[in-house]
Amino acid sequence: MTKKTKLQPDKPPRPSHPLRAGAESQKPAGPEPHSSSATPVVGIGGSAGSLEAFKKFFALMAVDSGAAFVVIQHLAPMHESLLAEILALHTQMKVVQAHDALPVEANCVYVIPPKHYLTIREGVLFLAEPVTHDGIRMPIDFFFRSLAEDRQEQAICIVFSGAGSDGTLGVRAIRGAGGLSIVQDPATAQFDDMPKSAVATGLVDLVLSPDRMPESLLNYIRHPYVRGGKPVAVLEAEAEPGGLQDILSLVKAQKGCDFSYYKRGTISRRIERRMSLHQIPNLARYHDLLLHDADEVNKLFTDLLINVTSFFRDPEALEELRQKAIAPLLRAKQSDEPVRIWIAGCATGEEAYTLAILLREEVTAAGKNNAVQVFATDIDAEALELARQGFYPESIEQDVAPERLKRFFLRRDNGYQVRESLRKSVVFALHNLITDPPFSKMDLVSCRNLLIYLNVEAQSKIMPLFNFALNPGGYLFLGKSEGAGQQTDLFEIVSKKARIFHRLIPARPVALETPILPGRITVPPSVVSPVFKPPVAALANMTREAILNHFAASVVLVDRKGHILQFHGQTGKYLNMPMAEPDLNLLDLAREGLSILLRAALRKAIEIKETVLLDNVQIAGDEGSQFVRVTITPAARQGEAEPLLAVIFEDISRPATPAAKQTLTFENYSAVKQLEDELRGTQQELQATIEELQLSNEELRVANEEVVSTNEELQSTVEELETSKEELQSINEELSTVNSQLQDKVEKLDTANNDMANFLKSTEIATLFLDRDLRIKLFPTAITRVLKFIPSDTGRSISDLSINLIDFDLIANARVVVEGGDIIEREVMHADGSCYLVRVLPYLSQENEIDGVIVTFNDITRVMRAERQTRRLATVLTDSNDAILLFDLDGNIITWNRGAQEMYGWSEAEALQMTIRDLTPPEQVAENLDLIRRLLAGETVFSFETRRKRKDGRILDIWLTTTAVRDETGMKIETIATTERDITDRDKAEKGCETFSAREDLKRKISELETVNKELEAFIYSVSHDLRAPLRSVSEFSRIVASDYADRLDEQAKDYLARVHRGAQKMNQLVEALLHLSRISRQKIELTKVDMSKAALAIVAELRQAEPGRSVEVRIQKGLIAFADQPLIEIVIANLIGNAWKFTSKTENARIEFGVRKNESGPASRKGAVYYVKDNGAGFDPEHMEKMFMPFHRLHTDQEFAGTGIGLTIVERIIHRHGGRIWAEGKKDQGATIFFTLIKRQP
Amino acid sequence: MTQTLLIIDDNPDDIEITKMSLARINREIKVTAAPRGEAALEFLRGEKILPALILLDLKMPGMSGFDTLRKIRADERLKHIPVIIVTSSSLEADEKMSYEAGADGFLHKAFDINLFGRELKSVLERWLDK
Repeated sequence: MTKKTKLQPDKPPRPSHPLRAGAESQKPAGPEPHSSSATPVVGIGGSAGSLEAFKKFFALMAVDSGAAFVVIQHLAPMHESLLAEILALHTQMKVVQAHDALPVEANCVYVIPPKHYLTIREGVLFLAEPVTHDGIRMPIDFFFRSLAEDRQEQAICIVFSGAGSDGTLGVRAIRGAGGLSIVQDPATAQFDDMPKSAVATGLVDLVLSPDRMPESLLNYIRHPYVRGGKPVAVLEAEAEPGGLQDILSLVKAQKGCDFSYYKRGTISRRIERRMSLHQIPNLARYHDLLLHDADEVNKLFTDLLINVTSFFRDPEALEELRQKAIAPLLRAKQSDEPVRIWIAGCATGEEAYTLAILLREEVTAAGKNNAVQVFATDIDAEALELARQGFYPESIEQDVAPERLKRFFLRRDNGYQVRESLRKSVVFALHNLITDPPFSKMDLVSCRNLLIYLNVEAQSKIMPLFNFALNPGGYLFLGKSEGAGQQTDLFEIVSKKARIFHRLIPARPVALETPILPGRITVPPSVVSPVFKPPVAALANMTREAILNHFAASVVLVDRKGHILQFHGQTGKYLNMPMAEPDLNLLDLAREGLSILLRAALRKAIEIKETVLLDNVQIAGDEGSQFVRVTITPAARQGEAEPLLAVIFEDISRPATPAAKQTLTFENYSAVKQLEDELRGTQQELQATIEELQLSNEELRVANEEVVSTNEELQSTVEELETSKEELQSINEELSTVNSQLQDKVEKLDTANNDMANFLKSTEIATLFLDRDLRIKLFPTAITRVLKFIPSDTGRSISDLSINLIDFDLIANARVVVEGGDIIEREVMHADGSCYLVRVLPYLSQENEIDGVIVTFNDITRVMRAERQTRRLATVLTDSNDAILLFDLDGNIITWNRGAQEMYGWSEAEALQMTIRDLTPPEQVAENLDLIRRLLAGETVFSFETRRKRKDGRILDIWLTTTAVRDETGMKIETIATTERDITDRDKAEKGCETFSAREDLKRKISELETVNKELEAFIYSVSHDLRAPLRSVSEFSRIVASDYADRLDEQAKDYLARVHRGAQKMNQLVEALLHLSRISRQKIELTKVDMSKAALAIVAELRQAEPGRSVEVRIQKGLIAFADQPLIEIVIANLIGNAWKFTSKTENARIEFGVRKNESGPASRKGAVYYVKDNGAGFDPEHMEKMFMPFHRLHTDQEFAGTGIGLTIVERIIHRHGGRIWAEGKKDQGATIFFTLIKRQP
Repeated sequence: MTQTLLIIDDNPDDIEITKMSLARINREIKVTAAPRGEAALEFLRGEKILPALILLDLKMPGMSGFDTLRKIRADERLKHIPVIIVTSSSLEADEKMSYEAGADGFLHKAFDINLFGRELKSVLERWLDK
């Protein structure tokens, strides 16, 4: 029998795959298929851990190899894949993510998109829906199979690191089509399951580490085998020495298999492939290699035998088979008849198990019980060994339905094991279709995809063989496009599509030759087929026969019970014919006189295992009694437990000795008979016992089966758990892939972050990043100058922290920006006096949404100061009465102030067009030039008198001061400045002096006044202090007199004393007030943030408590915060509110308000906020307003309202010390409002 | 045994007021007065039975209140006597200096006699009822 070589890869198992419809395959006897010279395509498959390998591979892969690369990686379906982008970084070749209907071009890399599978047809990539089996996906197998079919010998596959076994079936398909399969060396793979599983097929050509793959790949691609074209080289060299025939002979000699019956083209291509792998250009050299390398012969043999088979190939054909062949077969069978099938060319057994499963299912479905016997044969001993083991990789899940997997297979690690129940149905045997005789009495013969590789001669001889092997009514099942040949009288077509044929009874007898074809075929020494050995030679038997015949012995061969197994010779003399039913027991048949003796003798012989001799036995013969010698001897029988005995009868003449020896008399006979009866009874009892035992055995068996079935259930639970585990594994792999991609991204992110951090650190501009809720996101160290932040402030809301900016509500502004998005830019003062340009910008995300706020603080203090200084100087300059000019080194006038305009009469616009010369009378020109020269030389020039010319021509005498102005480096002289004073009119000069001295006088006076003031204050203080002691005495003693001497005084005296006392009290109050006032004036002011509203509330509370009877409506504005001295301001508030309280004591519906007036120029006015305390009480005459604040001046009498008249003075003093103003508005009896401001700036 | 209280003050009216306040408090106390610091010291050094409490004015001609206090504190025999400064000064600085100089208490010559009496009472309770 010849081998199967598969050019057709296996189809994916799901029947309705769109790509599969209409795919054509070869015809059996037509021209041999070969691929066109198109681009070789390298399918690359990997899963977990493969990204690194891909990178290495592509980095080294030549960019002009002429091959196209398709990368299939297990991708998580939900994520976008960055694989194409990542790979693009590692190769110069174009890298694209595949889309539907994308033609494949050489030197390009195509990457599988997520959520899809890839196939290739006629060099074009197509996307397909993923096919899942219990959550496990095999995109690599899917693509490789498609690739094998489309590209044939130009298909190359590489399996990289990954878990699971995806790619294994793909490797088989590629190899089956004549392509090249490469696998990543498991030792270099992070996950070595996939590589190992592929390698285990034995069909991998190269096992390499990723960095070595490119070179081997390139060499292979460049070999003519792959480049395409007819295998002319091999065919032409057929008959030459070292040519094809010689090679085949080598193979035949070493492997015992004749491939000369294979189609030439097939063989040639296979040989060429081996040559390309070794990079051998011509056949003779390859033949040489074969001569020296027995291993290469083995490899070539394996290549020629390549078997790509799978479970449930061609499901439609199998369904046809079931309907049109198997079902009818079963119907015709009796219930106990077995169904026998022969599968010729079963290779690694998938097809045999497939048919066995189909049959078993059919039998069960038909409700029958027939045994299924499958005989599966092949010439490839290694393949058969694998078939017998019955262990397949988990990728068979793609081909076998889950219910079948469950029922017929056991789940193991990394694969499936055929169950014992199924395995028992199949017998695998080594059988060569060409040389060995066929099977017989088969119901179904399946021989698929084997005949197409044989030549016509061989095919035509095999058909009769199959016809012979089949029962009448049997079926023949062939592979796609295989036919029954020319002999139409042997088979009729049942299904053309599925290649099912019905056996016909041949019209003429078929001459069956075995071996079919001539040729010196030697059976390889390793072949042993015990089942078909003919029986052992009969020579020994013949010798025995001769001896026995010669000695005319009558022999009977019996077992220990006396059952006769063999007769020899004339035994009739010693044995009767049975009386009733046919019976073959010696002891029953033996003639009288013999049986008893025989029984005893038999027993003895069995016991002692030696020959027993019964001599001189008298038996009743047909012609009277005779004497017989009976020899009972154990008969040798190999391997049998049960001993057999030969009973040899010999006639002897009347014995010499009297019949006293060894005879049993009739008396003994009856005793013996009794014993015999007893024995029989015992035997019957024994029988009964045995039957009972059998019953209990049955029960045990039943129990056992129950246990077995429980066991099976547990098994299936285990399998379910295993499935879940695999799902998790698969998810894990996908996540691993995603993880690799994310790692790349993370690295990039890290770099970006580092850049950001460094940038922030290096920047001097204080920047603050806030998020949408105004929480602090980020800030560089520089900002701590402006705002007191510490690192733990990150994440806190900005409103939690104190911001020492004057007049700038950072929070409100930030909120505006967050909502509105416009940039706010303002100059803002800091509490410590520095000035910042604050910019508030929106923080935009990538989608241009506002994600937060950036606040930058640009320290412009210096700039501000410079500006201020400049402004001041400019003012001085402009307003000065002197003429101040600046002109450049060429004499052009650059600056012209008001003084110059007045002095000279030229306007600024005019003057800026002029030069110094225009102002100089001719006599002074030389002097000017000299002046400039000296200045440039670095001389200091003293002021001097000179002359200038006015617009109207008048000559002026001027006093000139001039300086050189240097540039910012301080080295070069940029301009020249002159200050000129008109001294033509001397009066003017003097006036200047006057003004000057007046100013000096003023200064002096102020200083004097301050001193006086201070002295006064001190005076007041000490006086008031010393006044208090005597006052105390007056007050106290007058009181004591009034109380202790009351009985000695008349009413008048008491009255006077009371006045004295009151007077002293009043004086004391005044003194206290004075003391207070002067203390206020001298006390140091400490400015802090004061909550005036809070203070006011406290004061009102006290007032209410002191006079609980009064009902006064008090409105205090919230949030009245000011920069002031806390205790002093409290005095102000206490006084003002106290006054209001006092002056409304006679008012119904008394109402007091304390608040702040919104200034028209906005909240950030320089003048400061205007606070007010308003009441609707007694009011005052506005005419007397100014006097209100003067010490001791009162607008009411003591009878009207009590008071010292100093409260408001104190308030005024305090307000002034704060740099503010205070004034009042009011009308008589219509209430009063006191207004005051506090300066917003620190003094 | 009746306790003695020494008042050192140059103002006789103030002394009188203090005495009256003491009477109102109902204290069985013998009161001695000295108009100046030097006189007081002489007196103290001569006395066999020392006063249980000294009320000392600050503003006196001659030796000032502080100096007197320091001298008392320097004297081995006298330094354990509790000294309360009684003054019309309302300066915080004076109060601070008093304590620094070794005073045990500080009493204002309050204008309100009732207030003065209450404070005096608590001083007595603190320093005399031991």
